[in-house]
Amino acid sequence: MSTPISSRKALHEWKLYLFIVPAIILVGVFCYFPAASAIYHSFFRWSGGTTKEFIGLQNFRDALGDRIFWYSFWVIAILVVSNVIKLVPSILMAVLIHRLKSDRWQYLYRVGVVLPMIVPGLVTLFIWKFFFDPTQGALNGFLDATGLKAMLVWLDGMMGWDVFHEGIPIAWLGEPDLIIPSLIIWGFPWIGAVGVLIYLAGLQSIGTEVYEAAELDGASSWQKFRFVEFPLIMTQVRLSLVMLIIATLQGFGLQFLLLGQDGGPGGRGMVPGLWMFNRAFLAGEFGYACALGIFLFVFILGLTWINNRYVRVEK
Amino acid sequence: MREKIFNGIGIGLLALCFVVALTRIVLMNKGRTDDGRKQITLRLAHWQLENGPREAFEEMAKAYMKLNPHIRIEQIAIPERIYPNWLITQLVGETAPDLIEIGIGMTDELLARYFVPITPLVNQPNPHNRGTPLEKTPLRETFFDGMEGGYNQNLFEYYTAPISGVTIRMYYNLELLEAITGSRTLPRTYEELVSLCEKTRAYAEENQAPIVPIAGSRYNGPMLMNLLFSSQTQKLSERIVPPGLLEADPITAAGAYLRDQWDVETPEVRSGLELMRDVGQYMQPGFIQLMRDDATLLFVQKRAVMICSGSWDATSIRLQSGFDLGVGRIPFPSRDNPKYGKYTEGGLSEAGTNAGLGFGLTRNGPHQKEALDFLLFLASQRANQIWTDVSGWIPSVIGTRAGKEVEPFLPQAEGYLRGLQITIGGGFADTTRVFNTNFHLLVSPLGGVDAFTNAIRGQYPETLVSDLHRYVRTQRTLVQRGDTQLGALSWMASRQGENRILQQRFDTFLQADSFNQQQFYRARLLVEQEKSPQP
Repeated sequence: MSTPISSRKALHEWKLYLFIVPAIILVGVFCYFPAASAIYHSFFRWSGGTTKEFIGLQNFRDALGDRIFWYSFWVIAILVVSNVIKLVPSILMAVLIHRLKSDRWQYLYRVGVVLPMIVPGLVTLFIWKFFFDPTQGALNGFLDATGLKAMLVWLDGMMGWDVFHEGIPIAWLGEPDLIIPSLIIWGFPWIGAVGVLIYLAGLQSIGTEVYEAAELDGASSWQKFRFVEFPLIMTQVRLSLVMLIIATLQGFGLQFLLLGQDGGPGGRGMVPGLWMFNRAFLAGEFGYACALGIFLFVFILGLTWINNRYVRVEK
Repeated sequence: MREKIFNGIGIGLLALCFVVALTRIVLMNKGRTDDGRKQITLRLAHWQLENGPREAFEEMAKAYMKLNPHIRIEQIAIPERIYPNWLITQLVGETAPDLIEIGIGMTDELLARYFVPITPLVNQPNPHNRGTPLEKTPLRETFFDGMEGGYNQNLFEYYTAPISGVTIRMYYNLELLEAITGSRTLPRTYEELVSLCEKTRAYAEENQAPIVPIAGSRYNGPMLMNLLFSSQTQKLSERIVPPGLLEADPITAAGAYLRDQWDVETPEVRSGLELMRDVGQYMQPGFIQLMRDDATLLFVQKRAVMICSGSWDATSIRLQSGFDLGVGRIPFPSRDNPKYGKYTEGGLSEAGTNAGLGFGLTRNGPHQKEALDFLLFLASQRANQIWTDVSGWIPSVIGTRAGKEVEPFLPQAEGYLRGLQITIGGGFADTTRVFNTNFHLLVSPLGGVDAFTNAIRGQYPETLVSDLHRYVRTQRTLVQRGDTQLGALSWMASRQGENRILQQRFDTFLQADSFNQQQFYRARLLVEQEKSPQP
């Protein structure tokens, strides 16, 4: 770690700090200014043009009583939990690749995982939308061909779900009770290229002597993963977790494309970002949308703080 | 060594691409024409990504550029879904193109603030109609709707010169129709439509073919259903609409709902909902989760006999379908229909169809004079002929010849006025959202009219009031803005007593302001009555 320089020396070399001024200006203009503008406009009734009316905390009061907004946090909570579980396949994939003895095969698998990244995310979303098509989709086709549909119908009868019926194609995005399961299923098998690469980088930094020590102690594969590999990649896992939570909380592109601007049937797929979009661009309430954004910001800040404080990394 | 070579090739390719792109941009911006005039680029933005319009705009631009070699026209096509976001960003950021299609995402405030009205030109002939029978005709009278499609009745100004008409039709796969019924005769009544749907189902079952009668989606389905619904509320509309008005505007409809003149259990409304459900059962299961392209794909893949869509989809569907296409008006229930005839007057008239697809002139455009000239060119008979010939869309300028393929889409006057819409319409965003999020209850196989009405009955009054609140705020802003202009005009008119044009402008503006105030007070009264209901 570098030693800190004295303030006297720093002031003497003040010209060097001019090199970071352009970066600060750019960050200020493109990152901090929009946020400041959102905070400013959250105190106004503003429809996006130049006319605005100062209304103080009214937008925040309205947001506190907005049922749809608070319901959207339920949806996001379920998606965050499911996305955390969906980290597991990426970790397992990274471990499997790391444990390959052949460097060539490691390389090939790495390329295989990364190649799908060149497909734009939008294309993947549309492909999944097609998968969910009730009459032509691959998912229903698979369920029918394997007999799993019949099993689901039987299970539905036992559990009283009332969503799977004989002779009626499953409307994954058209049935309110199936919307959240569809949002969870989306992206199967949940192996994200970026995640795999991050974990792989972490695993490759583990020294071979640690593995040798574990083998001498008679550790099994599972024990190696549980006591050696997983703890030593916790830094990467924590980073992924923070990025994932922020992305899930802020994101609404998936819901917008799959379900439309109202969050689908019954509004079951409504998430905070989509509700902000709805209020801003459909209802023309930009000031209110800014206030919703402030709530979301505070929520994300709180979760990040909890994550930093309680998800500790044993060094 | 090999690695260095590969790296070098990679960097070299990247650098080459960068240089080529940079050169293109620089040469584009610094173009000069042969006579040394500086080249002007006019940018034209729209959301018409269907087959036809972009090619037509290209041809119209070419025709204009031949007349004006120093002008270059550049089209910017923006997907419909993100058009409102893009529009606001461009306008507020003052980077908007010279001409922008007016429609999706546009509000009166944006129009008034960022666009130049073309009202002063509407009573003058269009210079680009020179040499045609419309040479001396005022611009306004060269359109089949009197340029009403370009008129904003809240701002009392003309902002666009619309170049196309639009109608809604039923498209048929004639080959499938013939295979199912033995003939290519299109259904003309609702009863014939139902018969065709039933025969299609029987045909599909008999031949184990995955064919549905009507291709539906969350775009096409409600389009057909809303029209059918409004055929059931015609008599209801006649009862609640004040004298002097032909159709219920959103405030009238909302007010009538809040005053208990109608609700979701009113027999006409219920009949309309049942009609929507009946027709919905002929669409593929789960159609409400599908998008417009999904329904079109189903139809062009010969897995549906019919699809309901607008004239704007005609060229796209024609190009993509490998079969003979039939086009017909929507078959409405007649008065003789035993189930749906009681509340209907008959099929809907298209006499009130206004021209659409117009471009507005942005205030901050760097080449306003040239942009206005191009706008007038687009509104000329010559350009409109190019438009209809290339795009296959309905022309808007009188005297333009509609091709054989466009004829079935021309507005038909015969019919009756449309009734109420269940979604109220007119930008009632929250009410529309309630309808959309509960629509699945109406059309799903296990749903029904009762499930739908039970779901929306409790929510509608609340959303109507919140939408009215929003409407009141918008109208108040309009009135306040209008008062300022009215004051200025009044002051100017008082000092230039002999200036008849100014006086006329003041009178027109006063009418506009009065109308806006009337709307404001009507909506505000409704809102106040909801807060303190009268015993």
